[in-house]
Amino acid sequence: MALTMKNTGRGCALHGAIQTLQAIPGVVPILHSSAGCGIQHYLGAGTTSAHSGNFIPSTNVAEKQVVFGGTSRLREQIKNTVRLIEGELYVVLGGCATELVGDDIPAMAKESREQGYPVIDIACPGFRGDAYTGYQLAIQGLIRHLATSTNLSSEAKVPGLVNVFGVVPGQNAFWEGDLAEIRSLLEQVGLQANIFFGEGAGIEQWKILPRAELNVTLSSWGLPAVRSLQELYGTPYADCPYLPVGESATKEFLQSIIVALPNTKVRVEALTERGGRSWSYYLGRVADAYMKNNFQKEFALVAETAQGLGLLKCLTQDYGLIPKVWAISDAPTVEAQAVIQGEVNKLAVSVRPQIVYSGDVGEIHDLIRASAVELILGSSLEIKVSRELDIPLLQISFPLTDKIILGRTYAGYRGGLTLLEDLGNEIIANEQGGK
Amino acid sequence: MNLRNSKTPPIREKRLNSVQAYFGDIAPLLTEFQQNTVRPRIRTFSQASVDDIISVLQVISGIHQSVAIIHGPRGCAASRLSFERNGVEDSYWTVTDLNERDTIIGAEKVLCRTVVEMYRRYRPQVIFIVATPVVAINNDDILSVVEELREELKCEIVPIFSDGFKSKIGATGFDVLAHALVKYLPLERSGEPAEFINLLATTENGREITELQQLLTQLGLQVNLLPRLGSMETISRASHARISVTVNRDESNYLATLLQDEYGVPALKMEPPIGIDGTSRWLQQIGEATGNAAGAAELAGNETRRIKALIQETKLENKRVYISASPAIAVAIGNLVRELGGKMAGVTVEYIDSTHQEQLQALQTEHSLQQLHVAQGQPFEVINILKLLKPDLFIGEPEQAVWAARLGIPVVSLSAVGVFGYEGVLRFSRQVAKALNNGSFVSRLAATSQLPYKSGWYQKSVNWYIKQEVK
Repeated sequence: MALTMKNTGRGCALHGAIQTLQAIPGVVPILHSSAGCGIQHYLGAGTTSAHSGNFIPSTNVAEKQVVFGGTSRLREQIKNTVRLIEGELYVVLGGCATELVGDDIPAMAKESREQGYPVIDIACPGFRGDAYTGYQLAIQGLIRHLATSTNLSSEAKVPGLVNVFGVVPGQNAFWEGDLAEIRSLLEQVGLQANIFFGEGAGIEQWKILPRAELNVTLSSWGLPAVRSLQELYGTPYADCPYLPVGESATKEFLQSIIVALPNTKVRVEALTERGGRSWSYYLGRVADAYMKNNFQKEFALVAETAQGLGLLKCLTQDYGLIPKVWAISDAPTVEAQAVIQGEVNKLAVSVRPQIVYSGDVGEIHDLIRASAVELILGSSLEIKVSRELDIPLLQISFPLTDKIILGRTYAGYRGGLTLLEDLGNEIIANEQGGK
Repeated sequence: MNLRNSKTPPIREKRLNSVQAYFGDIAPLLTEFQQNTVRPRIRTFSQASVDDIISVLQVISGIHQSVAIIHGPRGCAASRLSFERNGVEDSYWTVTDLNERDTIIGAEKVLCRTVVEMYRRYRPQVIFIVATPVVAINNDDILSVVEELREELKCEIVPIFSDGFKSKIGATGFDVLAHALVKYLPLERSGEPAEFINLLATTENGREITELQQLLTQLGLQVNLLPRLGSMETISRASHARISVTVNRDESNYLATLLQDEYGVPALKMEPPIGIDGTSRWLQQIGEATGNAAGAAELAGNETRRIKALIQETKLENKRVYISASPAIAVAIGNLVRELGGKMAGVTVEYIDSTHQEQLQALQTEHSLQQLHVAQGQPFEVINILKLLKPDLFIGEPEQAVWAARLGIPVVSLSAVGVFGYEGVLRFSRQVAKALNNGSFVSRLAATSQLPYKSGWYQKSVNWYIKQEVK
């Protein structure tokens, strides 16, 4: 009997929702759950993005509430949270314990709305799925709330305004830097990026969301959102299943934006020319080091779909590395898996990686051992196996338990160069260690 | 103890009258403990807080040749990542990843298959099954899985019945684990009392434990380390050690008591080895219990002179220090602060119970404190206290220290320093000096940080949301 193990430490649906909502300044999650849920998230996801959030309001339900119901405890917690914690929107999230015993959480949120407080609820107990499910539930919950509570649909579209979905805060450790780079790329071609998470974002970004001319999703995890926005507001969407990393992928991404906005003037050529020129300049600079240290490695990749596809494009098409194995560590739908296969088949290289879908570290490591690769791009969980095989490891994917990632990004032209720097440093360090 | 009849120990609220929410005068609380009239208090606003599962995971992440199967939805295993760096390399884990359907029809089969697969892969000496809220609520039958597979696999399988909601005190998890180890493992019964002593480690870092071990070795003692940093071997033979010695009694007393009650291993009642005097006292107690009082006194004397010579001047002179830690640790650190010339300005303890009456007295008499704050997590209350008190230095675990830092208060972050033992004194005083010599990071942080609370909160009393529980 096949058994799918889960031991990469990616959180549950509740954790996905928490990290999604905490990435929006002004939004305050309120957990209606047992005490440890918030700390499990803080300790788990917090290791990756150097992220502070152990102040999260939580009812910390005790045995009494599990046996007799916890709605009155929740009522009290909501009432006190809106008085105590600054926020523009409070989102009640039920955990496994309270959802199992059937607390009427929507009724409590509704009650406080009727008292004039901005409180909504999103049902995402841990047993509903993984952190990506939580991301989807959270953004869908916010979109639904905005659609019912405000009357924005009739407002005119803002020319060139593009909503960006699909980069999942926390699960992609580089989300802040990646989003900043996407913003910068879109702005350089004359568009206005609407970014929902991180520095400078807030409820305002969610409120102007219906007025965008285009929704872009940079992974399949944003598809349900952009599809419901198409239904709600008639906004078309561009489905870009990868994070644009490096020269060729960034160019491809920008061109897909032109196609999606046929009636808007998008000045892509200047950027692709400028970006390509600078990228070529540095490629020339690094050539000697590339040869001296033999950057051309056969590699294994352990990464979520969107980040992985972006890296794969850059490493193979821009830098000439050879992909042997890709362990896809989120759990894309069947529909998304077909897209992945299509993208991999499209790669302008002769060697294609063996693809496995796995959240099982043991299985992934066995595969890496069997594939005789010379380099791993993966998570901190690959430290042990990289040492065992004495090959360099570039840590790029969740979980990153011994890395601090703030604004770092591998997206765009400059990100592609940063990738080469980081990758080269690991290769050189490994060579020196071997002497 | 109720080892035979119950899968779990009584929660600390029942076993030790533990209080987890309090701000106010020490004297009346002490009277409640003395007269056994402790009234349960609850919060009407709370922030997320450590639970028993996290305590369990932290300890077993440090047990060699072990596998942990967290039986629950995948989020219940998330914190395990944060123990990855400090755990031992041959401790493996997975989560059964229970989904909606499992919560309805039960998940014994998933559990069974996971145990078999993890055994096949890693051939561990022991497999721990860690229960979670979903499993506790649905009453999944873990025991029958354990019974069935223990014989088949010829491997020890230990069910740990943590639940995430029965106790408000995360440290209950240390008891739940100890209970499971002694109840479900066949500890050695036969044979003569061994030469070694048990050193009970829980959450301390490896370096601190090594240093303490070295001290004990200098006394001619053989050390049997468990449960953290130990193995099935050290756990199995713990039952015939000469004595059990704790490092952090708030975390290890229950295990020591079980080994005493069930196997007759004397449990020394001891305060943590923190500070020069604290460490010396700890050594001397062990020396006396093992018939080497003179050797212990000599070693303590030598170490004391060595450390004092190395700390020529201390930056703590007349500084007001706020301490946040578990109760026995907090008071021991208070004593260390006093040794270095500082003064306790206030204290937050994670919980307080009937075993801390001496500590409560010491806070009043030796440290001249009138008030006490009891909170596990709950940074909103700590910030309110600190804003008013404005201490010169904050000492606590990083997740608490970060909030003091956001107020611009220099901090010493405990687990990042490692404060146990004589070497801990050196590391601590050095870190104190650094924190007080250059406060620019915390000042910058304070200037740029927005605290999440509305300004009205700071006008309210700290115990605004603490109420006596209506039964």
